[in-house]
Amino acid sequence: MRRILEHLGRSSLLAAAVVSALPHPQHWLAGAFEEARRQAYGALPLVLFLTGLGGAVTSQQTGYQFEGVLPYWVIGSVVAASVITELAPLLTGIALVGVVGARIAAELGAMEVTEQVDALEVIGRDPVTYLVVPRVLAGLLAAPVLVALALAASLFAGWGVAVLVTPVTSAEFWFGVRYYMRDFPLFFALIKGAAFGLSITFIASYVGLQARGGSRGVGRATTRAVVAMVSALLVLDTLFAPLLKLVPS
Amino acid sequence: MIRIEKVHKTLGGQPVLRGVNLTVRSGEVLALVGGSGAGKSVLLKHVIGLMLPDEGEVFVAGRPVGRASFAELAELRRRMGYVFQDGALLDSLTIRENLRLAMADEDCARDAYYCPRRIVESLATVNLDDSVLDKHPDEISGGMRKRVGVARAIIHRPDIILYDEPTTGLDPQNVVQVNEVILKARQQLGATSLMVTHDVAALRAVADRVALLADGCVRFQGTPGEFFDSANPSVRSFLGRRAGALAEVA
Repeated sequence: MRRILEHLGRSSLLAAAVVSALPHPQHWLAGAFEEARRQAYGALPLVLFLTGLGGAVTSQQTGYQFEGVLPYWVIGSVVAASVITELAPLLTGIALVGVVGARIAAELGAMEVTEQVDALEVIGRDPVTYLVVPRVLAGLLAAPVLVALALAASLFAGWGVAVLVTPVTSAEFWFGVRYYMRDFPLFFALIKGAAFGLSITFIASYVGLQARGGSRGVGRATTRAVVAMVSALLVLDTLFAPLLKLVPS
Repeated sequence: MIRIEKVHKTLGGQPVLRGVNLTVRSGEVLALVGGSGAGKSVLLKHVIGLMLPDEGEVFVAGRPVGRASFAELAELRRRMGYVFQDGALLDSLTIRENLRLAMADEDCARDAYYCPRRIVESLATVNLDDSVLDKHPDEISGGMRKRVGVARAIIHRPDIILYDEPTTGLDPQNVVQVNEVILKARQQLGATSLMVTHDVAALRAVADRVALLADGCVRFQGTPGEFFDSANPSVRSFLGRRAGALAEVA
């Protein structure tokens, strides 16, 4: 319990330091855009791969389950509903944990144990401004873009598989998608993506900076960060679910 | 210049410093020696405010480091340079960017030629040329990394330089070069230096005074000559251990 409170206290202090660095964009702006580019390009192949598979599986399962029970265009609606509200943001988040979060935790952990973070402080540069703020803001920027691309990939994969393995036609599938499609779920998916990006990069930075004790310490910190990021992702996902009730009918 | 008063520090439940008292006079090179785990690096980190004492206080230029505000600490650090044990260069940056980062933005903004000139000058001080500037730290040797670490510490012409084992792991030629840099920093910058070292030979080469840290306290202070001639049991024990270790290596 004491440890949890300690982590809560330290992470709150880090969050406060991140917020207080925001009024000085000259120190983090260029780094944030460079990091956002790195995060987006780095995670894109895995995001497209995972969400493409997610869309394909959903499409197949829906086709098999509903065959002869509901009209075929429903496959399009179910695929759209599943990928927009759940699969695309969540699978993008999982890809970000693996590609971006683990990298940030290991990078900052290695910097901490090799005294590079101390060195920054000694030469008068705030480690939070130089190391954490660009990474966290980059997560906030890159994740919604990746979610948007993930939505497209999963819908197209779902359509391709549905047409290939179920009796649905392209026209029926896209009718189903359009029947479901509203602005709010799309907006909801992007907001969810931003929240995931923010939490993944913040947790990775916090846990990385807590690393102690050489390469073993970096390994431990990276493992802890991955566990914390995946847990946070699912907790956030659960907390976001009730917001969908706000969807205008 | 640096006054350490009754500093206590416990790390991981183990008392590391138990009431350390030490003064480093203006312009002198004080070598801090002691066995592994004696708390020498921990003490050095208290001087620059990377660690805070559990009890006691460290004064730099008459100002208490532990009670300094963020701005005061930043101002104090601008007067100090710190040479890390393994260089601690930022490995995502080139040598040029590492050195640039240690300079005040205001100075560079005032004079377009200031940055490049100071970078080349500080590299020359540690006997390196500009061929390393666009390399990353992992593309140069360990000895060069350490010397770049020294260049970074002196690039802003500090009054006080703290060295954490500056010659450990270097070949004899690099040891001589780093010792020369320490002497140059004192002669050219008039800097006050506190140097943590295991290198007994460096004591005679560069130190004005020697302090021995053992069992969490300063057990001896004096000139290098007094240190080597001392009958103090802690000094004899330290020198005996060093001689034993050197004989084993030989």
